[in-house]
Amino acid sequence: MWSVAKAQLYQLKKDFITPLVFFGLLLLEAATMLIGVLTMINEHLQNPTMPEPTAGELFIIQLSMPFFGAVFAIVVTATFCCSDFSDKTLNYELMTGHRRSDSFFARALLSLAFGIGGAALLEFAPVCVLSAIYGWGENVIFRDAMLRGALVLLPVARLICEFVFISFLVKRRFAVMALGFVIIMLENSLPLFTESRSPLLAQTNINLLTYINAWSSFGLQGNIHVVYEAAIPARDVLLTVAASVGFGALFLFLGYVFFRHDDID
Amino acid sequence: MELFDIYIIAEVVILSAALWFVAGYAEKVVTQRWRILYFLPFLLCIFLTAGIGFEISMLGAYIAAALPLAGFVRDSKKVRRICCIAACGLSLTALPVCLLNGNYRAFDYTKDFETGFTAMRNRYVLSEYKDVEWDSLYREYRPKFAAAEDDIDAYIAWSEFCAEFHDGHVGYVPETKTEEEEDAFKESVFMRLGANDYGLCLLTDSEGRAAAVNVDESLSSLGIKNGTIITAWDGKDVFEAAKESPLFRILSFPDKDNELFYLPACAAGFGGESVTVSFLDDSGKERSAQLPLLGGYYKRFKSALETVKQGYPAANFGWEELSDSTVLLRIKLMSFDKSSSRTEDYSDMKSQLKSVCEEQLANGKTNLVIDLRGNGGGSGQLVKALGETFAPVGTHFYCCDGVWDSEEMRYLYDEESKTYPTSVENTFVGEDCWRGNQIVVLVNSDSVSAADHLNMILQGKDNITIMGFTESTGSAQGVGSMGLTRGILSFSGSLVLNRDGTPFVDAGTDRESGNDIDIRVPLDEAAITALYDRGEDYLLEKAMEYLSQQ
Repeated sequence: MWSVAKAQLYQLKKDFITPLVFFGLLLLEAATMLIGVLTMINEHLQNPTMPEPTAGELFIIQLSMPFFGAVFAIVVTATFCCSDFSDKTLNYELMTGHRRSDSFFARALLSLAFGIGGAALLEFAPVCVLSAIYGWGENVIFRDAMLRGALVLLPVARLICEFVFISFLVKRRFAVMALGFVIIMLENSLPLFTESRSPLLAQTNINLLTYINAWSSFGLQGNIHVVYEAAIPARDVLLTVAASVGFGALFLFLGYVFFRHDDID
Repeated sequence: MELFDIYIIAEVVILSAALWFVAGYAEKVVTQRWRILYFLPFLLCIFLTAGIGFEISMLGAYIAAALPLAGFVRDSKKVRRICCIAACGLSLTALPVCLLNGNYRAFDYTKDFETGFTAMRNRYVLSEYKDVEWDSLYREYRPKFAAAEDDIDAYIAWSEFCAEFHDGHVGYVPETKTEEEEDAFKESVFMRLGANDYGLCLLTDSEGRAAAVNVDESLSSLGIKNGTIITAWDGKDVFEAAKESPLFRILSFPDKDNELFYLPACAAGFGGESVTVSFLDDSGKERSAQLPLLGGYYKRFKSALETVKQGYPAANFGWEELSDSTVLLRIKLMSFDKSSSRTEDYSDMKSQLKSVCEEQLANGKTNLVIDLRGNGGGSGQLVKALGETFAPVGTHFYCCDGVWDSEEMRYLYDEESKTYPTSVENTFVGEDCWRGNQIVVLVNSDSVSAADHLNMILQGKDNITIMGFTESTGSAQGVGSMGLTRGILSFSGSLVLNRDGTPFVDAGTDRESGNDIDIRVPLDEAAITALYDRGEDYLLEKAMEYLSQQ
């Protein structure tokens, strides 16, 4: 399995699309954060009692848009799991004696490692920069926010497992990417029809984790204090872990079952 | 049944039936892509359930949706067909289970209560001042929410819970779209409480007796008319009967004087098919009469209160000429326009008010009535601007802000002195734009929040008289609200203080608000007949009469 993984890593070095997507998303994320910062500065200038930007508050705002991490995770998964179907590398891999389980799980594990790593970078890197500029601030407890941020990576991991399954069905890298985009959009559109924050879908699970009550206190002359109740109920943590592990394992199992019996041309 | 649940049952049945046929075909072809189809029922079920939420009565359908997955794993016609048949049957069992289960998709009101209660426990700023016993409130009210079967039960539970705080800012508003819907909902609430109409409402008159108001014409034959003093209700003292009525438990009055004013109204809706009342007839003799049940109490209650609480029918910040010497400024809400609300800069509003004052004074107007009746509050900065406009020349105290503890994320409270430490002292400089001429400020028990603020900062000024049947609400802390699944909960979330660290205006456990009233207009027979027989704005007439005597 390790030799398959090493081969994948070597291929990734030669791939320009994945880093391009990553840096493109990082740039988009930075632009989104910049808009958030400018909006807060503008509000503060118009009404000085409004709070100045803090990294903590911007992190909470950014948490509600985990779109970038999910997109990157899908791109990485499609790259690892589909690229070798089109150029028959996978056929040669199996013909040279690699077991199907090794081929499948090496790709799945690499997708998980790189997908989660990339999503984590996209999530936390902008906050580190903003913390250096504005400081974390006092309106959200650091530990609670970080726990939520870390938990968001679980549905991302589950999304990766789902796309490992889809990748081994579809076998076409760009088709999987397009399908991923469609699925994310579909799942994102659910809240338009229902107020669902169910852990049953990766995206609605993310909505569950990123829904944070805010409370503001104000004085006649004093500043407005916005407090984010970022502490997450134990029930939500348990549901997230159970759904992510359960569905993740199920999709990996189904993906492997399909691949094991699959007729590779 | 919910449409999404029907979709789930239907999709499992239809797809399983289709997959039963596919099993036969799939066996004959080489490609194994057919097995993907066995994943479809599960996928659709997950998507629909994520949208509508999990329901235990649907468990059969959920398991049924997962069964065809066996056909994905095992490439066997027999396994696939057995699973498809089992899925079809199992899915259909969910239908009667859902229909027969009384708790099918029953909304869990305790969740909303837990959310609102936790937020209030963490953020309600007057906990210490009002000696709120959170644990005992939780023990008392959680079972009521657990027992709630519909929105009406939950609304009654919320209203009773909110009334415990005696704070005009603590309230629960159910999700209703239009005024008609809101009325219909409240009518249902009154019906659930068993509030009946016996043809009259009651208010406390100036001598502390229960006086009939908004009396139905049908009672005139019994000798009961507007202003008749009711001495007993269904054999009980009216005030005792009122305190026992379920309506009393859902109404909240921060100030106990205001509560006493409206208290008999709670008695007037309760009884059986008829109710026996004792009353004083025109000669002053006590008589009894049996009042028949006329219908639901809500409409009579509402219109009786609307009449006594009426304000001048003019636009917000509208000026009306009342006489050659008197003008009225109607302030329904402490909000001027969008731009000033966004920036909290009310200098434009102040300039406009100043120029109108100058114009009115130039036209020979010497008396001003500021009508704050029913003012629902708004911006403190706007109140400050109004204070600057109308208060006498000089610096005046407004209020103090609390001290925010950034680490604890709450306001500081000093346990020893039982006060809240103060930070910024807010003052304003009066410009006396009405040039020392007489001003009457009209208030009622619905003049709340920022209207309470204006009452407070204008009271005690030489040329300003606060007038009303009742005091203003007596709730002046900064209000915040939170959306719950079925409504909105609001409560005091920002601290506004006096110099000594006691809350500004709000009543503590003594239920005496800091706002005073200079002239409490007596609700006597003259007032009741003017209000309820002739439909006059009696309070405004009294204000004009007072001003003409100055």
